[in-house]
Amino acid sequence: MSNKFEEKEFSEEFDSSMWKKLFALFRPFYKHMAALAFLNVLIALSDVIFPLMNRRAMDHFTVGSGTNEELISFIIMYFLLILITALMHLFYFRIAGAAEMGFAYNLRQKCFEKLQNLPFSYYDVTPTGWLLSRLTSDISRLAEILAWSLTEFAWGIPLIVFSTIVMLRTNVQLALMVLIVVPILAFVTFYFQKRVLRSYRKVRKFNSVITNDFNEGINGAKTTKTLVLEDTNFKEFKNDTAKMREASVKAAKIVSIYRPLVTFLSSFTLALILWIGGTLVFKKTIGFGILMMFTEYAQRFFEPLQSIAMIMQDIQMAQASGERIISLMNYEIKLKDSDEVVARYGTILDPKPQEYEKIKGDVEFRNVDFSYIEEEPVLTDFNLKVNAGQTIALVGETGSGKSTIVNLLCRFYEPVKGQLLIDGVDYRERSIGWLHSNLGYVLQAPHLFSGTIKDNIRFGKLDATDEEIENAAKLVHAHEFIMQFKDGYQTDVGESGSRLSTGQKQLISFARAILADPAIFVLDEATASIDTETEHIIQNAIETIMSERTSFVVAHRLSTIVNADRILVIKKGKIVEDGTHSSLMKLKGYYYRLYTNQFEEDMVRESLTRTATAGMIE
Amino acid sequence: MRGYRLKLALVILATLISSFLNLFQTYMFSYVLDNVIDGKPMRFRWLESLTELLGGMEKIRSSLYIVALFLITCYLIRSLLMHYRFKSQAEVAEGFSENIRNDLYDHIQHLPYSYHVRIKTGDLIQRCTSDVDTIRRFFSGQIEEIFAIVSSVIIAVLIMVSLNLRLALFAGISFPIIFLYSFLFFKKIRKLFLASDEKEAEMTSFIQESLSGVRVIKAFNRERYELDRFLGYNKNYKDTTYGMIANLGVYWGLSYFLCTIGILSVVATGVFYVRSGDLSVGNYFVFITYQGAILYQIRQLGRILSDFGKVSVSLDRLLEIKKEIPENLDEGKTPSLAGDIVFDDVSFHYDDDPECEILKHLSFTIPQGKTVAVIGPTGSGKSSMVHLLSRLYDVSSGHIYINGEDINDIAKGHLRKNIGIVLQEPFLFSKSIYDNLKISNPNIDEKSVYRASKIASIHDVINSFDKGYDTIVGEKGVTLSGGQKQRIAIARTIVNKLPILIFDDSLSAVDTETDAEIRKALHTFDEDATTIIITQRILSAKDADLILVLENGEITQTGTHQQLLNEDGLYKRIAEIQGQKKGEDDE
Repeated sequence: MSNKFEEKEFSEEFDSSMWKKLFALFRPFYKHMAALAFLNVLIALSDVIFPLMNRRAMDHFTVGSGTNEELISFIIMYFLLILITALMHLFYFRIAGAAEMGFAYNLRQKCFEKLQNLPFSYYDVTPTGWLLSRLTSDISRLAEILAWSLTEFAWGIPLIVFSTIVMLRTNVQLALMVLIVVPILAFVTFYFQKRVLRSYRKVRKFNSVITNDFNEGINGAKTTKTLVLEDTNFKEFKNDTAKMREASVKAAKIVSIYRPLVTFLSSFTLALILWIGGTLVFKKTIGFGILMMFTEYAQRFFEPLQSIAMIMQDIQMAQASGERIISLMNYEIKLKDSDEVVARYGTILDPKPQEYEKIKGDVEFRNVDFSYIEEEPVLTDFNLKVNAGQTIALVGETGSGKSTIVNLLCRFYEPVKGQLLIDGVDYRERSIGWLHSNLGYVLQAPHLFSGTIKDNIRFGKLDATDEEIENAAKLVHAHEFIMQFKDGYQTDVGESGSRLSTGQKQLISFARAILADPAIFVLDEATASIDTETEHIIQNAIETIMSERTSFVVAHRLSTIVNADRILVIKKGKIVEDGTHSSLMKLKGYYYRLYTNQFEEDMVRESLTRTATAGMIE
Repeated sequence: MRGYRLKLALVILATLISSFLNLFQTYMFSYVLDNVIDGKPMRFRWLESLTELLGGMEKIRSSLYIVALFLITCYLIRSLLMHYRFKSQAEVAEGFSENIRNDLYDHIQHLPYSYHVRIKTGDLIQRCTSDVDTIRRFFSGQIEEIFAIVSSVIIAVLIMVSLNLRLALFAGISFPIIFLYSFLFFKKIRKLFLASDEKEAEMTSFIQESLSGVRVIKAFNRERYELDRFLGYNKNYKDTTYGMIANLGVYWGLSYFLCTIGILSVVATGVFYVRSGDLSVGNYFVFITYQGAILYQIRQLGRILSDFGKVSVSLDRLLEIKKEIPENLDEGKTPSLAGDIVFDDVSFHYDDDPECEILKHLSFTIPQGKTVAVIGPTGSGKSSMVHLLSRLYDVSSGHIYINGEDINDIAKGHLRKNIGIVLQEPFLFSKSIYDNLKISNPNIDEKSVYRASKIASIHDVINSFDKGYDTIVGEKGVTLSGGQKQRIAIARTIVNKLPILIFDDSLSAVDTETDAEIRKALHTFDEDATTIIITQRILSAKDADLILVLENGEITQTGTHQQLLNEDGLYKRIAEIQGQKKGEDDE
């Protein structure tokens, strides 16, 4: 599993099928592209015209015979050309910006929709960081390149073509002087550009190593102090910064050869022009203006060449980003509603909740087989029948299969074989949305979202009134601590609820679940060390929630399940003990041993906390 | 910086010369046009000397390639200077920032524990990375660029003035306009840049949170709701950024307009000066070319200078860190620490809150080789005791002696090296598990590492991972549970034989059976070590040679398990519950 999401190596070969898919996504922006290409051609044209204008100023008006009227109209023309080109620059930015941001917006929306439809199994094996980079940096890069870089061809190539034509038509001999250097310039540019980019990529890599070093050095500072690792860490860090310097200097050295070389090459052309052109002027074959025009063209050849080389690199980067995004978009979702179910109940993102049947709460696992990885069965021919309203506790070691049972019940996964019936109907005949909107689910590590406490509780029922929210909070005894905050229900919980204690978060997640008023309630119980006082409160909350609905508790803290209707001890995917607390205690089996061990500890913890002074509880 | 001053000066000198040469080449065109071809008299003495140097006007006129060769030589020199500049400015900037980074890292590592408790880590990391980078960028080009532009502008203006004062004045009108426009625009748009970054960050953290809360979203069937919220963030980012780009479009359009109008003004007025004979054609060429080059550079200068404030802000932010006083790990004695630990009337409060006594007049002795358990509720001061013992904090009053030596006289590094502390929430470094285990002693052999992890009951767990001991902590797909981390931290601490071991509630996430196993294994491993166990579990405390009950910063009870059973107090209350359970189960 750990290797599965290592960044794939992407071939440098052009992947046309990927680009086809990418361009299909880009279709709404074709008109932007066309406009940008058109503007680019015009800008290239104006870039070619200005040297011609300057030449005319010199040859026709200074030494030539231009009249004042002609001069005035010349100035007006020049001014208009400036105005038009300036406006084209402005429009270019606006159109490219609109295409970039619009495309990124659309693509992000599509990807996020996909994320909402992806099943649990996908999230279980895909690191969030991986998905995050797809939605952020990859999309940004792709949009930037598609909107800004691709159409630059329409500037670079016409600029080269137009100026070549003008030069050849003006003076072949001088034109050849300029063009002679172009292939060398092109070669140098492409040769170095590749190396420059590669070396800077290395620099970026070392840079992120250093960022990570700081990250660890600072976050791990307390551990560093207790283990006296200051010198060890520093030595490693110095090693990294030295590598960073070497890589940066190496990259800079490539640039330090590349850029002067390019400057030298275009200057070389200038010298040739001065020599040959000067001689021609001397012989009065050409005017000063033409000489000046050629110097301007000679200096402008490098820019379009560099831009073309850049675009080539950009396309490669875009391809890598594109492949990753397409691989996300094309991920085949196996766990989904059938077409008939969709027709009746709607999709996840566009449901028809009015069609949802009410759930009574009978649950049955019928001959269920399940495995996460083929040939490693977790459940085999598993059977379990639960009546509506019962509380079922699942007990067992890590890996015994108790979480799997819950995952199947929640339809986060589906049975490989067999059926799971809810109210006597195979749950695959109803929609995922139907089940989930009737499900109350509390995780052992409670997850809250940024926002206020009220927002977080309301997540359980979006149209809940303030009163309903308060009632839910009161039911689970969260109201008391919420009101102790200055802002009460409007208290900001911080990112992922970081401003609250684990116990407080847990209570809010209970309130959220109870507000949803689910028919089936699932509790993946907390193992975290919550202080004993809070644990008492939580215990009460759990009992409130579980009364009168079908409940499944994955139990770690056995004291919480003493009152369960049925306790199932799961071992290697099988139910090995099944009964109430007292019947299992009499059995003196696994449950008995587990319970007696934990009991002692619980008593101690309780005793300790009872003596804690009130002032210490924040 | 000191070591790089000379080099930086040389780089700047090279920059100045090469911008001069750049202007000079244009002037050579004018020389050829006016003096060589048109045969006009030379304006400057040095031009005559140059003519002599190149073999006299007659020679030049017949063989123009001489000037071309001369120019190529100039270009070559310029290119070499450029090469030197780019190479050396990188060496200066990278070397300098390497020093800053090392200095900062070392400094931060040596800042006291209290500093690390106090600071916001995100902010500190930000300073160490992006603020250092701002300074690096300043030295790797910006500073040279400023010199290059300013010197170019000055030289060009001087030349233009010497050629034709009135036209030069006319040309110069646009300089301040473009500079100010560029400068002010980038000052203003920085807000938009920041706003765009902010919206992007908001969107990113929304996605992040949504991804990590995906179970909740799915279980509550809130996919549609999340999508709608996401689209809000997505749109905000799009609109803000588009606004910024549109503004940039105005800038590039308008500044292009201003620059080219500046050129037009010279092209047009120049015509009249040439016609009236006040300006030669060659000089006209020089004016047009300089004007074109200078205007764009001035535009660039405005942009760079508007960013200038950032450098001093970054510098201040770094100096703020440097102001903090680091601790000296080596100063002090390095005696053997195998001896009794004595707390003599020790009190402790945090410096910033003298009212709140965390520990109050503690006095007790821990004989060498014994195991002491400290039991007490959360907030009773147990952890502070540990912090004092290893001088992560210093006592406010009283003394702590180890082996007869006041710990205030012992070098902190020596003290901590000899006291193995396992924290409740230990930090593991993102290296392999193996490297984590040997981190405090790189020379240790494999056998000792395995022995330590066996004692800590983690050996089998590690071997059950795909890559075993080579598993990288925090790598994709592998998440260690709290209990596993704690056990690795224990193993990491006991790879060395240490005279004093402290477990600061460091088995809280480990189940009771494993807890007992570990303690037993530890005891047989090293009988001579003085061990302090801080716990809330009576089971962990009961076998200790001495038990201290800490409540509200005071020791309310001391004694062995048996002694404490016969006293009224917290310990007995716990023990009574234990007895009750025993009776029930006939254990």
